[in-house]
Amino acid sequence: MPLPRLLRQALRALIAIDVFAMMALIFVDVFLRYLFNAPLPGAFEYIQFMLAFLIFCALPLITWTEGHIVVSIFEGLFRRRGLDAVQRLVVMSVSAGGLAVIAYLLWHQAFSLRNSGQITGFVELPLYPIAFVMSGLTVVALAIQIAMIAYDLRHGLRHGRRTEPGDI
Amino acid sequence: MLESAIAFVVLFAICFAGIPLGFSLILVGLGGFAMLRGLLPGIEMAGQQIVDLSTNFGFSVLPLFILMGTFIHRAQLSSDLYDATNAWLGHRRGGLAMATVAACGAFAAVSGSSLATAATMAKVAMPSMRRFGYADSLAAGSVAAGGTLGILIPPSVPMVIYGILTESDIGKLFIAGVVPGILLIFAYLAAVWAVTSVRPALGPPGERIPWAARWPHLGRVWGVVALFVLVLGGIYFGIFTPTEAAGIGAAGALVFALLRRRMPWREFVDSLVEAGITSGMIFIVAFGALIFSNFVNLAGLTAAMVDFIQSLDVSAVGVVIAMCVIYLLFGCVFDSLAMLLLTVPIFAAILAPLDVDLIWFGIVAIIVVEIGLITPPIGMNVFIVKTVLEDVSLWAIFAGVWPFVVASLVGLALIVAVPDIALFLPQLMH
Repeated sequence: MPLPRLLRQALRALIAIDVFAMMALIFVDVFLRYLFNAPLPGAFEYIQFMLAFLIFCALPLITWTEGHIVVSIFEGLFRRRGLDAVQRLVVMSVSAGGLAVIAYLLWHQAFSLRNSGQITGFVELPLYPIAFVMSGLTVVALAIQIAMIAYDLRHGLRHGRRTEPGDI
Repeated sequence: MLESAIAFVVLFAICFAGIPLGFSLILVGLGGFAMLRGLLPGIEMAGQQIVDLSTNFGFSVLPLFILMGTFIHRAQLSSDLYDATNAWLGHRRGGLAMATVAACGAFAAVSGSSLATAATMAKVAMPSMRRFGYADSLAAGSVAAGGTLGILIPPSVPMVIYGILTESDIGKLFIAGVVPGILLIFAYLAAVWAVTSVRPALGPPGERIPWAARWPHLGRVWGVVALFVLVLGGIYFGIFTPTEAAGIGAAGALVFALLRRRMPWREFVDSLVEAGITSGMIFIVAFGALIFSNFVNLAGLTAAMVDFIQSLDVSAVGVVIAMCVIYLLFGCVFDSLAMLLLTVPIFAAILAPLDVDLIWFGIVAIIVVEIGLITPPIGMNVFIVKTVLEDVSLWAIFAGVWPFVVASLVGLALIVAVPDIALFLPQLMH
C-alpha cells in the first residue's frame, strides 16, 4: 500500500531531527560540563521525552514496512499450502488489535499521570502530555494498519511484504 | 504455574504463526495479568511499563549506539581495516582468514551489530581470499564467525538490551566484554591455524609485506582506535556514563565519516532514520518482554523455578550451564534479539536469588547467542554472508564455520569456569 508522501516524509523528518537532537544535546552537555563546568540544565529530561517521541514516531513506519521483529518458523508451511496470503491478513489483523491495545493503554496511562500530577525532577515538566502524544502516534500506526488491511481486501490478497525496509 | 504454562503455549503458537513478537508478548502478558488480578490493574501495569521504559533517560543509549553503528557502516572503513590486518597477518598460512577475523574484531570495536560486521567484511575479505585460492568454506566461515565478534566486543547492541532488561550497569557490561572479546579473537585465530595445519591447501599464505610498508596501513585506521579508546576509555575511567559515551561515539563516528568524505546529506538522513526505526523495533519487543515477565512473576513461575532449583541442590553454575543449553536449543529457532528479549527477564529473575553475578551472566549469554548466529538451521550470520556471496552454498559456509563454533565453545567454557576473565576489569572500575 502506498503511504501518503507527506506523512512518510513528515515521520522521517521527525525521526531524523529527534535522533540528531539527542546526539547533539548529549554532546553539547558533556562538552559544556567538562570544559566550562556549566552543563545544560534539564538536558536529561528533554532526552527522556525525545526517546519516547522517537520510538512512537518509528511505530507507524515500522507498521507500514511490516518491519516488526517476528519469529515465524511456520512461514514455509503456510507458503507450501498457499495460505500465506491468508496468514498475512491474520497477522495484520492481530497487529491492528495489538496497536489498538497499546493506544488504549497509553491513553489510560496519560489520564493517570495527569491525575497524579507526576512531573520530571528538574525542569518540572508534566509527564502526561508525552503519554497522550505516544497514544496519538500509535493511533496513526493503527490507522495505517487498518488501511493496509482494507487495501488488501479491495485489491485482492497478496503475499509477502510490499515494501522493503530500505524503502523507508 | 498452570497459568504460565498455558501462557507460554499461547505465546509460542501465535509467535510462530507470524504475529510480531512484541504484540504477542503484550497481548499474552496483559491477558494473563488481567486474568490473575483483574483488567484494570493489568491496564495500569502495562501502560506504566510502556511509559516508564520509553521515558527512561538511560535507555537513550540504545538509539545512540545504533546511530554510531550506522554512521560507521557508511564510513566504509572495512576495506582499510582489512588491508591493515592483512599487511600484518596475510603472509602466514591461513593468514588471509586470520586477517579477516582480526579485521572483524576491529570493526566490532566500533560497531554493535554482528550482522553489519559480517555483511561489510564479506564484501572486502572474500575477493582477496578467493584470489589466493582459499577454500570457500574457510573463507566464508571466517567471515560469518568473525562477524559474531560484533556483539561481544563493545559497543554492543545486545549488551545494551540485556542491561535494560536486567537493570544492570551497561558500562560494566561493556568493560566486561573486552577481555572475553579479545580471548575469542585469539580462539578464532587458533581455529584458523588448526584447520590450515591439518589441511594447508584450504588457506595458502598470502604475500609478505615488508615491515616498513606495514605501518602506513595502521595510520589509515586511526579513527577506529580513537573512537574505541574514547568510548570505552571514557566509560572505564568514569568520565562518561554509557549514554554520554554513546552520544560522543555517534558524534565521533559522524566526524570520522565526514573526514573520509563518505557522508552526503542523503546518507546522513538515512543513517538517522535507520537508527530511529531500528530502535523502535527493539523497544516494541522490550515493552512486551517486560509486560510478559511481570505476568510470569505474578503467576509465580520464577519463584517456583527458584524453589525447584534450590530443591535440586545444584550449584548456580549448574543452572547457568543448563540455561546455556536452553539458549543453544532456542538459538536453532529464534533470532538472537528475540531470544534475548524473551528469556533475559525470566532468567535474570531466577538467577538473582542464586547470587549469580548478572554482569558475568550477560557475557555468557551473549557468547551463547553468538554461537546461535552461526549454527544451523537458523544462523543469521551465515545467511547474511550467503546473500553477499550468492555462488557459495549454505552448507559450505556451515561446514567452514564449525571450527569456529568449537573455538567459541572453548572460550565459553573458560569464561564459565573462570568468571574473572570477564569480571576483573569491571571490578577495577570505581
